[in-house]
Amino acid sequence: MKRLFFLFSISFSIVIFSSCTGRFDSMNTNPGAVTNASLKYILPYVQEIGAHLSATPYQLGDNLYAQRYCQYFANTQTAFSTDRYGYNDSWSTGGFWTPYYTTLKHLKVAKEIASKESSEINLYQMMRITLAYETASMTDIYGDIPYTTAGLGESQNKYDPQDSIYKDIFKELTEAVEVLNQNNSEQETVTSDNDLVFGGNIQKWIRFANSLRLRYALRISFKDPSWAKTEGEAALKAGIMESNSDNAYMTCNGKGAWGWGNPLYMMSTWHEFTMSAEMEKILKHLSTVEDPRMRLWFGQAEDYVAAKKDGTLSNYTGEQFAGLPNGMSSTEIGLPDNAATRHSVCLGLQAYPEWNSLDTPTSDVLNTTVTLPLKIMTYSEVCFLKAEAALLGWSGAGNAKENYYSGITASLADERSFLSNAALSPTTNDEIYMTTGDVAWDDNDTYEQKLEKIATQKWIALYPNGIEAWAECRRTGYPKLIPVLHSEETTIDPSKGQFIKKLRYPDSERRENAENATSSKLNNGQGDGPNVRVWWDTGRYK
Amino acid sequence: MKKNITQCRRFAGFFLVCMVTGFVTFIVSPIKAKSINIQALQQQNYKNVSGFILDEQGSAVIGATIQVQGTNLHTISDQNGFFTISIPESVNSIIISYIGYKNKIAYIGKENKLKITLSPASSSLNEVVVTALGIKREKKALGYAVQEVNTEGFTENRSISLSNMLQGKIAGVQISESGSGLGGSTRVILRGLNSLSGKNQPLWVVDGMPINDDSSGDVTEYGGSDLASAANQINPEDIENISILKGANAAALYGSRAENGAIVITTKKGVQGQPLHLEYTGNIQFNTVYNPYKFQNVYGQGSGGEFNISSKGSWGPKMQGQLIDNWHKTLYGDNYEQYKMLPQKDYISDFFNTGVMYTNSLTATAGSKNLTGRLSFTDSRNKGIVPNHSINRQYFDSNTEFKNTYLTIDTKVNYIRELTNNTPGQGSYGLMSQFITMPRSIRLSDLSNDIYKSNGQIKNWAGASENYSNPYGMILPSNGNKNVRNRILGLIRTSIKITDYLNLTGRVGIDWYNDQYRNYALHQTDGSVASEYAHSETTHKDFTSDLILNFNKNFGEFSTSANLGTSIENQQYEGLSGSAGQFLIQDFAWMSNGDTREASESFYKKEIQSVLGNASIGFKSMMYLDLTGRNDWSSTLPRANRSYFYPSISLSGILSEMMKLPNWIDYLKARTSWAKVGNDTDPYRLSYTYTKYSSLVNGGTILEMQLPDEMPLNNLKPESTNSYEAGLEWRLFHNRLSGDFTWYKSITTNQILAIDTPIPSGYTSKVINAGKIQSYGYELTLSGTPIQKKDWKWDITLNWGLNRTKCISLGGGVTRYTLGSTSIASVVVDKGHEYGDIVATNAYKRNSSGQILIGDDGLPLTETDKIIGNMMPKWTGSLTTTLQWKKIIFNTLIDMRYGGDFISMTDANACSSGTSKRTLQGRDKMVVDGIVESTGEKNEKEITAQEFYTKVGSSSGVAEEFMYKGTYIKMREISLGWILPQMWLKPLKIQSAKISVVGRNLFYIYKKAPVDPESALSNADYAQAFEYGSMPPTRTFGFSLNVKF
Repeated sequence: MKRLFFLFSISFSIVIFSSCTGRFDSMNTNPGAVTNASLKYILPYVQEIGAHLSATPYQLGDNLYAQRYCQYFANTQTAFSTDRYGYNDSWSTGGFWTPYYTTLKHLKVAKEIASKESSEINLYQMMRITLAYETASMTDIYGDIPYTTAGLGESQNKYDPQDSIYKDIFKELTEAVEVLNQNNSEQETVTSDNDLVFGGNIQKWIRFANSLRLRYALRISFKDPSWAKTEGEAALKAGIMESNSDNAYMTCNGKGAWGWGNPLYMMSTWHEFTMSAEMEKILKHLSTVEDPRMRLWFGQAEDYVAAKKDGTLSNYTGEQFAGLPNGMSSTEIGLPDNAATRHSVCLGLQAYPEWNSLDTPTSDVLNTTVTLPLKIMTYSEVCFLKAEAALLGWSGAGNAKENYYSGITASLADERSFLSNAALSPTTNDEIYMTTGDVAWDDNDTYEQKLEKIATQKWIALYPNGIEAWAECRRTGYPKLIPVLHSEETTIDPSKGQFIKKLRYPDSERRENAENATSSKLNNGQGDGPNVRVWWDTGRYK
Repeated sequence: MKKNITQCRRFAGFFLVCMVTGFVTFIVSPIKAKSINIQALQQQNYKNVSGFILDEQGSAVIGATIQVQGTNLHTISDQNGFFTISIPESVNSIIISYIGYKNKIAYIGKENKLKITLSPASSSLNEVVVTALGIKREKKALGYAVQEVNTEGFTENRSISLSNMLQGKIAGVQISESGSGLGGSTRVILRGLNSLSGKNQPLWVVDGMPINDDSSGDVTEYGGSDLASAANQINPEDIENISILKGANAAALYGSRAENGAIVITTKKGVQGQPLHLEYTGNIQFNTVYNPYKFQNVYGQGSGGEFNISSKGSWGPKMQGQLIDNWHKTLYGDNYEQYKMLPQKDYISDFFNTGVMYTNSLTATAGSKNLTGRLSFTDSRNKGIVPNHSINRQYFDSNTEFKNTYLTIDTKVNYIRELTNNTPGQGSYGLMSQFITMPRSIRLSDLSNDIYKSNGQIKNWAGASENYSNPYGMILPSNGNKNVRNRILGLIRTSIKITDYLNLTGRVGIDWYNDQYRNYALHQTDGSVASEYAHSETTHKDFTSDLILNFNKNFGEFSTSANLGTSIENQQYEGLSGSAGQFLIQDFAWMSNGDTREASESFYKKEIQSVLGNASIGFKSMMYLDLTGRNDWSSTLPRANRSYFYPSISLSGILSEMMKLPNWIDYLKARTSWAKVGNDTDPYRLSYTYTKYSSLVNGGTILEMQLPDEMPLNNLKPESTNSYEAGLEWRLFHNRLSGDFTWYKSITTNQILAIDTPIPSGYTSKVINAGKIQSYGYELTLSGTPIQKKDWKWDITLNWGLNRTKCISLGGGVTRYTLGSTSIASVVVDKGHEYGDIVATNAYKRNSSGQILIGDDGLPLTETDKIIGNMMPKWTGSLTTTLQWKKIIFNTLIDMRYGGDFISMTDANACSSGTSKRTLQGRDKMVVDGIVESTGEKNEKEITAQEFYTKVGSSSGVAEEFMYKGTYIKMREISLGWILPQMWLKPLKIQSAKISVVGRNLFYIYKKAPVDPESALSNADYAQAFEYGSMPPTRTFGFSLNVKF
């Protein structure tokens, strides 16, 4: 017995005075994660998040804010107040802040990776270009934002003034192009699985970066004409997009468990938004004929189709294609005449070819995942940028009229390129569309008239890129949008023709980073609020 | 590294030696033990003596020891107080001992059938409780609060979840059922919330082994299934005893997982020296649905008072039998006539069924002198109120124990099989949300008829819509889920008596379970794109082993008891899941039929190694000092901080022994203690890693890598909780009135927290070691016996508890920690505030005197980010009474809770869609009470109820309009039992039989909210603040029969 006791004592001592924790380090290493990753796997993530490919940020940001503020769409869901300028914190953060700073964080890590791995240099430049347009989108929406110190895990970040952010955007774009032009050797192979926009085509990246540089040069052109000219002319010289084959589109062929393809079309059958009255006005009445893009994008009203099927069309009081005013109250939304089913939803020929082409389609034709790519920047936009640059007399911009018409032509061609059957959208009226009404270019027009035409056509061509369209509406004041019916912001009075000017900072910033986020010095001493103009906004609208 | 490996081998080798030794002893010792007996009592003839042991009230005494003096011969009385023992002819007396009672010597005359009545020990009742590591100790020796749960009614008044059966039985404990009904989760919080990590529930321990209590449910406001956590699967039939070790003090020896206390369950075993006994328990219970929410039955589908078939709200005209179009015709072109618009009052009672639960158990127990065994089988079938919802379980339990003078070997195998069909979901897309928002004029018969479109999708009154589904479509056999769980709880325990005072116990336990989950959505609602099929398989494995050396000796007036031990706890989780995507061939639910076929896997592993010890010194059975210490090494912490030590100390004194007190005080004890508990964290939180992002491109087939949302901290330290408690226990007036009062306080510091970081940080959270959370509370149990006569007995027990938790600091410059959010509000912990503030996404904008500000349109203005309430209850309590008349026993349990806010999304959604009775007011015109912001005048602008409720209602509405107090008083349990007279049973060879009628969750005596206040979204901390389209509550009625052969 004593021996046994002795044995136990020894054993206990072994256990107590040593422990076998040597395998703890390997046990605490996650087998489902890696410690190093090539940028070729991070770039597509950054592109996807930055472009709001998931329907959640797309709905919260692009759809509930930008596409309504620029009046591509009007609201038909009573619970949504953003169309009336109501602020929703989780939509603002979920739609813009979280995706942006998530990608900015990856850029900062990517910089380190690229500095160590020379084969990752080109990929890093692609990420810089991607972040440049994301950063511009963010600052255009919010004005001054946390930028230089952000994305590094710090809780209290300082807010960079918008002009300095723009300075850095130009720097990033310029440097990225310089490096890409160096033709660095032994780079990681980049395919369409790694680069969801250009499939690794360096030349397209260069032209895209220069086109963005031109876009942002014009953005600051009213505020700082000489700086704008320098950047703009340099961009034009460095080589911008030359045709629709240079277009920047994001692959969008997702078929997850939710069947999400293009996020806009994922939401379009929910009946929560329709064509806006502004959109209806422009598509139907800008020229003497209907804009050919209307049927490509928008569908006939569902009640119209139903009435046609019933043979009661003669009693139907609505229209085949119709938009709703922005900023309706919940009661107005509830009125039978304002039902989404009496107005045009995104059921156009591009996404649902049968809905507009069949005589009496059934809703079954809508049950497909729409995999149209997501628009980031197109050659047609670049043409309009060049047209405006020509108006400003920037060298290398060419002729305003030619650029203007190339822009319309490029847009029509680009939009039709997504059709399954070209015959669905006849080109018969194209000529009349371009040469009559307010579309027709007149060299004798004033600068303002010309700018309005360019800006209006660009607004159409940008569709559905609401973030860029809203920024341009605020910069140029064109198209002259219809004031919203009701505003939940007491500082904005639509009856006086006033519009929202920027989104305010999120609650979490106001609370956790109050010193920076609530400073009165922000935005050139204007502080924060929906009635505060961002730095480049020179007040060309109310 | 190499050194450590060697040590590991040594450690493993040591275990092997122990097991072998144990095994050899097992083989050898019975022979040895027997030989001793034979030597001692050579050539004796034996006789059988049997009898009943009763207490002073004539009730059976279970577990009394019957011993022949000076020998090893002994047995224990069974559940009926019955014993039988074989003793030498020459012996003419036996000694009966039972804790809390005086020893009694019984003389054996000619009569071999004895009836022995015990009388209580005069000064104190030496109640025995099970404490940490399964060590039984006299309650009087403990310096901390332990409460025994009365498990008597457990097999009669059943619930599918064990936690539910604990409701109202423990002082200060908050047990809240969720709103998902049958099979849903239940939350158990012993002493408030100390951690921000979300881990605030106690550790469940079965026969000394911690078991897994994870929930496989994952619920948000958008849906998901809220499933009961794993510990609730313990079969109530097998439970002998439950003790609740409430604070960190009591649980110091179980380690970190018991930071929030422990629920310690001892299961039933065979009884030594008892012939084969069979026992049958049958139980049938019915769950009937009731609807606590008041809907309106006046206005039908439409908007602005006019019927409109495309309108989703109930803002139409009065329903007066006018003819309206049928949506079948309008939306789907079906040949349906117009029908009369009339209120459809009974959606809920028409749609839902009466749930039925049948339970049948058969138990066999037997024991010889050295070997005892118990085998039980329980079959439990539960049909939910949702037509296709069911949970069926089978339990097999086998427990054998070999015991002789030197060795005890215990093995236990528990196998549980559970099949769950179609757990209904809550949230905004859940089943109830459909009824809440559906216009009051839609007929159920239209929804259930003619349900399929030609493409297999399901027709619905709202047409193609993401937000509305046909409730009958949701319960189709082809749409639903199925989970099969197989679980094994196994335990081997060997205990060797080395000397009279030294004992070594080794224990190896495993809790293994595997879930096979399938989710089908073959017929989607109109407008949805995908058919879905997902299949996942997950396995949890908790392995625990320990080795404890136990020392027990008295030195004069000092008694000592000490344990020294080591333990290893290894937790592992593995999961593999796949989803098919859209089907190529309709209705063929198989992974290969999908067009995308995504697969993913998950893994989790951690280990804690510990060395632990405790010592208890008693003086003259009146003063006790307890010391414990434990050192843990956790795999989840960095090397330098991996090891952490935590001690506890407690002191108790029996004042009634130490000094002379008035006669009416039978027993008075004071106790106090301090304990520190360290805690580790989840694995993989120390360094940056890239994980795969589920890309939406190319069906997720391309590889995209992302950084984590949580910023890791490579220098994590263990967190620590310091807790103090003090208490008093008393028994007065000849034990007619007894009570227990506890005060406690705990401070948790260095919490391992993933604090929310503002978005520009690039991370959603950041791991830090900071924060200070402080809580205190009181617990009171009072029990009395106001009536105690020959035939009558009336017992009352009152439990009451209060807890307050406050956040002193969060650290890292952060002022808010968000526990969780839904669209309408978040639940946060703010620096300097009480735990669990509710922050509205939109709150009424008010002026300085609190009046609501109104816009020019007559509608209230709102502002964001405002604290509107707090979810923590102020106190909880319960009242149990047992009234006994002869063999008839009547039991009631009333449960109550005071305070704690929650938001009813049923109310918010019913208001925004015009189905709530609240929306009857102001249909034509109403004026919101408040001040117009622009003018400062009283608002006089007329609006309609529709305008008001569509603005303030729904998930994007104004939270405070739908916030209620969770206060309630509920008739939790009623049971009426009758023990059938012996004379009826004897001819049938039945030992005893009891019939009971039971009722559960019968009604609210009082409640504040318009919905069931016990219907949280899930058992997560934040979810307590939200009722979100919960299942309708049920009342349970049933019968139970218990027969012993």
